[in-house]
Amino acid sequence: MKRYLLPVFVFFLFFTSFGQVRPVFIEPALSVGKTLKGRWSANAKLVFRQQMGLFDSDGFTAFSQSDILEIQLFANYKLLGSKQITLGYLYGIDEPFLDEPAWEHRLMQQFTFGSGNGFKWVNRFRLEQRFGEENFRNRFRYRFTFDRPISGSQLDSGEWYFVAGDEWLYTFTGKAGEDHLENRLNAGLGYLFENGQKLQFEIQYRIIRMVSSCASSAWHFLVTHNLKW
Amino acid sequence: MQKLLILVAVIFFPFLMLAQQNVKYEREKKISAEDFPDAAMQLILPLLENAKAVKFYQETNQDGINYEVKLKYDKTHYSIEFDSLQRLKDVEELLDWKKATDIPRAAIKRNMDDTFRKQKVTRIQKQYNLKSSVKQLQSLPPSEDIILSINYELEVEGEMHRKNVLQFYELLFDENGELIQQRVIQKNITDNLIF
Repeated sequence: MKRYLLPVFVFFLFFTSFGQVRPVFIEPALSVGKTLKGRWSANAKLVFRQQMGLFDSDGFTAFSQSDILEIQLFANYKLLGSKQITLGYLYGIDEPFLDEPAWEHRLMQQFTFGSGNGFKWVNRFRLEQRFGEENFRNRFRYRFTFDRPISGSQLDSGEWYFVAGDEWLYTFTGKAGEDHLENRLNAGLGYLFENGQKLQFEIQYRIIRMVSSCASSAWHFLVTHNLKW
Repeated sequence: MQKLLILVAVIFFPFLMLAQQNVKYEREKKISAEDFPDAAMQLILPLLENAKAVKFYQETNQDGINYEVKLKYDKTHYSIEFDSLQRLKDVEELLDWKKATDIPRAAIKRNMDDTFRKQKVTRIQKQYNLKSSVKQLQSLPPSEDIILSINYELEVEGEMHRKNVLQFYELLFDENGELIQQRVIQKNITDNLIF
């Protein structure tokens, strides 16, 4: 257990050493998977993001504020060799409880491949077309994620696992000065239930608009419940 | 009504048993060397001096509780399995499907082609079934004089003929490459890594 906690601790120490107050978000999500006929499967994911401890130049303004509500739908087709191609759609609402929240429609094309016994890893490549009320953006994402049982060489029900990953996101619009790069580094713990469901707690550190003068960062605490229907 | 239910149960029971046997169930728990049974430890004691990455496990499967040691010996990964009575069950040597030369590849491939429309081998182990008279394992792989039989255990991702479903299977072949056993492996969901 100790050897898994050490990298998480170093990860915390490294990023908090900047000594600046960064926005903190809590992001609970529910992901439901369903095996369909043949090689097809479907997934639905509901994400609700809440920003905690809001400050402005005058100081504390609010304890929390809802930030994003997203509904994601995916159709997946399995390929031999632990590969999968996916088409997805997302409907997102920014600050959903305001009088005039902003919306977004997003189309997604995804290819994943992975493997592993015990140490399971997945490479994910995703293209996104993001249709906002006033703008359109493309985004390319690459993510590497793995999980590994805390005890034993294979993950059995009733056991905890360690999960970590890193994702690079490149937004391109075709307009000068608007393209930007983002990185999301995450680590956490998950639990596999007897019924095959997984509950996962992760800390994610995001660096937004990297390699630019307006770079910023934020902490996200992710809690995701994965279940099969 | 009662007679009808008994009749239905009698007809369907063998099929239910068959269906259960075809799915691999295995639960593994890491244990300390102190918790590993003494009799089993005595059997592998000479190996431990030259072994690396030695890990001890308690395994629960359809047959009950087994004990297993996983180790690296002479740059090769082995697992040594004992039954609940601490008797040596088998020794498994991890092979590389693409590089391994001393395996009945053609026969295994032919058998897999008969079963699957498409398949990919994700793992192969050479299984040494040893004579019950073995008192101690001196080296790995086991010497010829203590080997009773050799099997090959493959983990395969495959799509069966007339079935458009990709699944993982555990296939057991004898030393001539003839299929002895076929079981479905139930994999954990990986949605947490994909979405």
